[in-house]
Amino acid sequence: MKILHTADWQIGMRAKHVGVGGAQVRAQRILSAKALATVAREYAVDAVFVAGDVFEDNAVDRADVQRVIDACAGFGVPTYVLPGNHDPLTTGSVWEHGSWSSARNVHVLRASEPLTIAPGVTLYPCPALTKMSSADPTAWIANASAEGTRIGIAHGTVMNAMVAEDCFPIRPDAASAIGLDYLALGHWHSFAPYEGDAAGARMAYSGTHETTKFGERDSGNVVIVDIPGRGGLPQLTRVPTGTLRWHQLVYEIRSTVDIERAIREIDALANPSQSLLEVRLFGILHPSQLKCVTEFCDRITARFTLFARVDDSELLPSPEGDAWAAALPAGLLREVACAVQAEGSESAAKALMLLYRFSLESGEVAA
Amino acid sequence: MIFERLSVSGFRRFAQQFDFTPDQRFTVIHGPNGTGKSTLLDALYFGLLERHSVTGKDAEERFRSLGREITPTIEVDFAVDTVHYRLRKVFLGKAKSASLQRLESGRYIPLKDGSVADDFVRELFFAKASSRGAIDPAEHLGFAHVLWAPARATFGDLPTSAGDQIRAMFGGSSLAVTEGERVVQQRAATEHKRFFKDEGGYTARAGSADVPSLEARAAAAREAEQEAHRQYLRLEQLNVAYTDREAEAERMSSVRDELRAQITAAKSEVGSYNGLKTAAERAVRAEADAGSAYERVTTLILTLIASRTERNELGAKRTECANKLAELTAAAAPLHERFSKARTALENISATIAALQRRSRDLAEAQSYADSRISVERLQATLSSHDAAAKTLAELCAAQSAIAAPTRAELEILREAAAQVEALEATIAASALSLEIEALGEMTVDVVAGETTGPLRISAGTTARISAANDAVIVDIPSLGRIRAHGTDGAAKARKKLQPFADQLQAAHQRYGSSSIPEIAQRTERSAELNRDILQARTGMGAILEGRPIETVRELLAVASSTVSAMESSHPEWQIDCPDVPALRTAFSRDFQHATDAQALTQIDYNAAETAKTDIDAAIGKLKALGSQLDVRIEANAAQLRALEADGLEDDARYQTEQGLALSWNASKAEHAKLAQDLAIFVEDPEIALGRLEASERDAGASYERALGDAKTFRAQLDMQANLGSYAKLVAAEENSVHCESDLAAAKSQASAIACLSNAFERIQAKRLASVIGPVTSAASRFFTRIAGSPMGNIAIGEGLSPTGLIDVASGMKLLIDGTLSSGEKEQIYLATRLALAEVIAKDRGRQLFVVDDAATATDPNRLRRFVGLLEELSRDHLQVIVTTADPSRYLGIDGAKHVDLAAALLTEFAA
Repeated sequence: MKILHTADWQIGMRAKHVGVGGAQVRAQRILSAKALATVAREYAVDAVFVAGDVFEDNAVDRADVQRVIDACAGFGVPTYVLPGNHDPLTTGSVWEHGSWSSARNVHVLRASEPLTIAPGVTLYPCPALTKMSSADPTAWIANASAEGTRIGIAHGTVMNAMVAEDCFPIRPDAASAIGLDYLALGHWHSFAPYEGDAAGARMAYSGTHETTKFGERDSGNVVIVDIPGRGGLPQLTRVPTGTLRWHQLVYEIRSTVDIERAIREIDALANPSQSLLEVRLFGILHPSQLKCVTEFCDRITARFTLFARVDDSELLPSPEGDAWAAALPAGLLREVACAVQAEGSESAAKALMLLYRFSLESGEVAA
Repeated sequence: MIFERLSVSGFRRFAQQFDFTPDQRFTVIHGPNGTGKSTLLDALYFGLLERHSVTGKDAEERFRSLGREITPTIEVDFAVDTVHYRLRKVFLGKAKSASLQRLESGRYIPLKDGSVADDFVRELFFAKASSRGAIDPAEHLGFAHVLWAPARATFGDLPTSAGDQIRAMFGGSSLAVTEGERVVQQRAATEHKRFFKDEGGYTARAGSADVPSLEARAAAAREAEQEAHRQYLRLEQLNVAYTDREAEAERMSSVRDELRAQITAAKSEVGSYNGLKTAAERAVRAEADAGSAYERVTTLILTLIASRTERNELGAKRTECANKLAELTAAAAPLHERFSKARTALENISATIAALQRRSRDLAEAQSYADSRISVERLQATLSSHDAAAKTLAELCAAQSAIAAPTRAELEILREAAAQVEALEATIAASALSLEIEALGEMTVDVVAGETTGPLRISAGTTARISAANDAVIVDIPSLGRIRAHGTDGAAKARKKLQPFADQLQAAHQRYGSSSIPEIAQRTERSAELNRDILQARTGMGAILEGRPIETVRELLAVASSTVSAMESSHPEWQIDCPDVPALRTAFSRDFQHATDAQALTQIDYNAAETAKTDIDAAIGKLKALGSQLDVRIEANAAQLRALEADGLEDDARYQTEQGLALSWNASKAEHAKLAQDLAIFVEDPEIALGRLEASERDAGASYERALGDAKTFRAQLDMQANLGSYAKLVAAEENSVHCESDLAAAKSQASAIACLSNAFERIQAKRLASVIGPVTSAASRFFTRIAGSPMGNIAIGEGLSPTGLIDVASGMKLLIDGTLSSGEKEQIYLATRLALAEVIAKDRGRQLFVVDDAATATDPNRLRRFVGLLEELSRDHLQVIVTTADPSRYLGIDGAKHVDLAAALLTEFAA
C-alpha cells in the first residue's frame, strides 16, 4: 500500500516573526496543501495520511476549515485526517464543521479504534483529545490484534535523549513494540525517520509541508510511504512541497570584501518574492565600510519584499585605534567622536556611525 | 587704557568748555543730581567710541545741548601702555572731524584722522563700529560693555568679538568652530529636534513616523492584541462552557432515567404498603372495640363485688356506732350532776370574796380618815407658830423704821467730807491776816474779801483792825497810794473747795440730827443690827412654813378639814372614836386569806367536773354524726347495687360473658401485631419516597433542560464568536503588534543614537565653555563673597559671559538672576562679574579704566564699604577707577583718592 504521509499543516499559523508578511505565509500554506493533490496523483498513492495539527488552533476561521476540507476532497483518494495537539478533538473543535461529512473521501479519525481502510489493511488511529497529555497515544494499540498490514497514525513526541518534551510521548521503537508495519507521525516539522533511515523506516515524521519559520532543518516535504505488506520495511520517498524559502544567513564582516561577498550570495538567491530573508551581520565595521553596509541593507529590503530583516546590532565600529575618530578632522567633531566612542554602548556605536555619516554628507570627511 | 584728561564743550549741559583731569588710580566725582556727572562720563565714552561722523535724530538728541546749535567737541587724553594719545572729535554739523595725536618728546604729533582715528580707538576696546546711527551699548562698546557700569550695573552678553577676545585671553581651547563643524553640529541638532522636544520628551508631528506616533501605534496595536486575546479567550471560555453544559446535560439525562426507573418500582411498593396500612388500621379499631367490651363487663363484675362488700361493711359499722352511743349516754348523767354541784360551790365562795372586797374599801377609808385628822392637827400648829413669828417681825420693822441712819457707804462719804472740811479750814486759818489801821484822817479802806467786804470807812484818828480770813485788804491812801495786803496763797481756793463739803455735813445734820460722825456712825450700827434681826425673823417664818406660801398651808388645812368632816358625816362614830386602823387591817387579812384558799379548791373541783362533762358530750356528738354519715352511704350503696344489678343477670352469666369477650380481644391483638410486623418492613412511607423521587426526577429533568438550553446558547455564541474570526484577528493583531514594536524599537534606537550624539556635542561644548567661564566664575564668586561678607554661592556665568544666576553650593540649586534675588544682590553679582572680567582684561592688556556711574545705589552701607575696599584694592594694580555719586560720604576714606566736587569745579571753571 502506498500512502502520502504529511502532517502539521498548521493552517492559520501565527507568524509574528515575519510581521505583516504573516498573511501571505498563511495563505501559502493552504495553497501548498491543495497542491498535494498533484503529488498524490503523481505517485498514485492509495491514501493520504495527515498526522495531526492540520490547524494551528481549533478557533481558526471556519472559512479556512472549509478550504482545508476542499483541499482534502481534491486529493481524490481516501484521506485520513488525525486531530493533533493544536486541534484536538474536543467539543466545539474544527472537527465539528459540517463539511467534513460531505467530503466522501475524507475521514476524520475520531476514535482510538482499529479501522479497516482496505482489505487486509488496518489503520490504528491515535487522535489527540486534549492539548496536553503525558500519556503515550499509541499505548492502546498493543492490546489490539489484527491480521494483515497494520498502520498506525499518531501525533506526539518521540522521546529520546535529546528531547525532553513530554507532549504525547511516543517510544522511539513504538512501531516494532506494538507490531505496526508503519507508524505515521506528526508534531515535529522536520522530516525524521525512526527504526530505519531516510530510505526505509517503520516510523517517521513527515514534517510540515511548508516551512513555518527560520531555522527548520528538513521541512517543506511530504513522504511517500510504500508499505510492502505485513513485516516488510516501508520505503520512504521525500517529496518537496514547500514553496516559500526561508533564508537565514549570517555573515562576519571584516572588510568591504565580506560585504560584497554577502551581496553576491544574496543576489544569487532565487525567487526573492517567495523568499523570506533574515541576515545577521557581526564583526568590526571600519568607517570606510559604513556606506557599503547602508547600501547592503537598502538593497536587501528592496529585493525581498515578503520579509527581510538585517540585524546589524553586532556590527560594531572598530574598537581598536582611533580609526573612527582619526577619520574625522581635528577639532569639535573629533572630540565628539572620542566622547561617543568612550561610551561603548550600542546607541553610541550607532551615534558614531551617524556622526560619520553627517560628516560625510557635509564634506568634513572624504567619501 | 588709562584715561588722563577730558575736555568737553557744546555737549549737552557742557555748553562751555570744561576740562577734567582724573586721578590715575581712584577718582570720586560727586555732586547733586543734575550736576552733569553722568553727562561727563557720556562725553568720555562717546569721545572714545562713537564715530565722529555719527548722524541722525538719535545722535542729535544724545549730543546737543537742548535748543542750542553749538558743535559738540570732545577731546580725550589717554595712555596705552607707555604711549600717550590725544583724541579730538567734533560731532555733528559741517565741522565734524576726528584726529588722533601721539605724544612724542613732549609734543602731540598727528597720528590718524577721520574714521581711521575712530577705528584705532575702538580696536583698543575690541568694539565694532556702528554702521549708522548712534552706538548701541550692547553691540558697539567692546570691553567698555563691562568696564562701564551704569546705574544698577546690569549687562547682557558680551558682543562676539569682545567675548572671543576675553575667552582667548585664557589661552585655553576656543569656542570657535569651523563652518563644517557647525554644519555637522547643526545636522545633529536638526536630527535631535526631529526626535526630541527642547523641553524634553519625544517630538510628535502629525503624520510622521516619530516615536510618540509609533508608541501610540504600538500601544494601539497592543490594545488591539489584548482585545483580540480577550475575544479569543472568550471563544475558549465559550468552548469550555459549551463542553461543560453538554456534559452536564448528558449526566442529567442519565440521572433522570435512573430516577424514572426508581419511581416505577416505588409506585409498586406504594400499592402494597397502602393495603397493609388499611388492614392494620381496621385491626387496630377491632382490637380497641373488643378491648372496650371486655373492659366494660370486667369492670361491672368488679364494681358489683366491691359494692356488695361495702354494703356489708357499712351495716356492721352502723350497728357498732349505735351501741357505743347508748353506752356514752348512760355514762354522761353522773358527770352532769357533779358539774352542777361544783358550779354552785364556786358561786358561793365568790360571794364571800366579794364581801371581803367591800371590807377592804372600808379599811382604806378608815386609813384615810386617820391620816386626814393628823394632817389637820399639824397644819393648825404650823399656822400658830407662824402667827407668833409674824408679830415679832412687825415689832422689829417698826423699831428699824424709827431710826434715821445713813448706810455704811453714805457714812464713809460723810466721814471723808468731815476730814476735808477740817483740812480746808486749817488751810484758811493759816492764811488769815491781822491788820491795824490807824486813820489820821478819814479814810476808806476797800476790803476785798473776808468777813468784811466793801469799803470800810475809817474815821480820822481811828484805828481799824482788819483780821481773820480776809483774802486781801486794799488801803487807798489818797495822794499817797494804795496798800494791798493778803495772807498766805491758797485761802481763796480752800474756801472755794470747802463749801461743798460743808454743805454735805450740813445736810447730814439736817437729816440725822447731828453732824458728828461718831454719832451718825452709832446710828448706822444700830440700824444694821435691827436689819439682821428682821432678816432672822423672816428666815424663821419660812422654816415654819417649810418653804410653802402661807396661803398654801391654809388651803391644805381647809382641804384636810373638809375631808375629815366629810368622813365623819359618813361615819359619825369616828367623830367620837377614831378607828383603829392597824387592828382592822389585821382582821381583814386573816379573813381574806381563808376565803381565797377555799376559792382555789372549789375552782379545781369545778374544772375537773367541767372537763369530764364536756368530753363525754363531744363523744356523743361524734357518734351521732358518724351514724348519720353511715346512713347516707348505706343509702347510696343500695342505689348503686340496684343500678349494677339492673341487667337482671345472674353472676354466673356475667362471668361467662366476660370470658367470651376476653377471647375475642386476644384474637384482635394477634391480627394487629401481624399487620404491624408486615408494615415494619417499610423503612419509610413509600409515598414519601415516591414523592422525593418524583421531585428529584423533575429537578433532574429541569437541570437537563437547562443544561441543554445553556449548551445550545453557548454553542450559538461559540459559533457566532468563531464566525467573528477571533482567532484570525488575534493572529493579525499579534503580527501587527510585533511589527509596530519592531518599528518603535528601531525608531527608539535611532533616537537613542541621536540623543547620544547630541549629548556628546553638548558635553564637549560645555567642557570647552567651562574652560573659559570657570576662571571668570571663580573670580566673580570670590568678589561677590568679598562684597557680601560671607559665602553666598557661586555666580553662574553664561556663554556670553554675563551672569545668569547664583548657585547654592550646598544644594546645587540655581537662583536665576531675574528670579528671586534681591535688587541689591543682583546689583552686587553684576558688579562682581564686571570686576572679574575687568581684572582678566587688565591682566592681559594692562591697567584699564573702570567706571562706576552711581551704580551701587541698591547696596547696603556695609556691603558698599566692602565693595569700595575691593575697588580700592584693584585700583592699585589693575584698574583706574572713576566713581560718580550724589553722596560723597559713601566713598570717604579711600587712600589717595581724588574727590571732585563737580558743581564747585563747574563754577570755578565757568568763572574763570
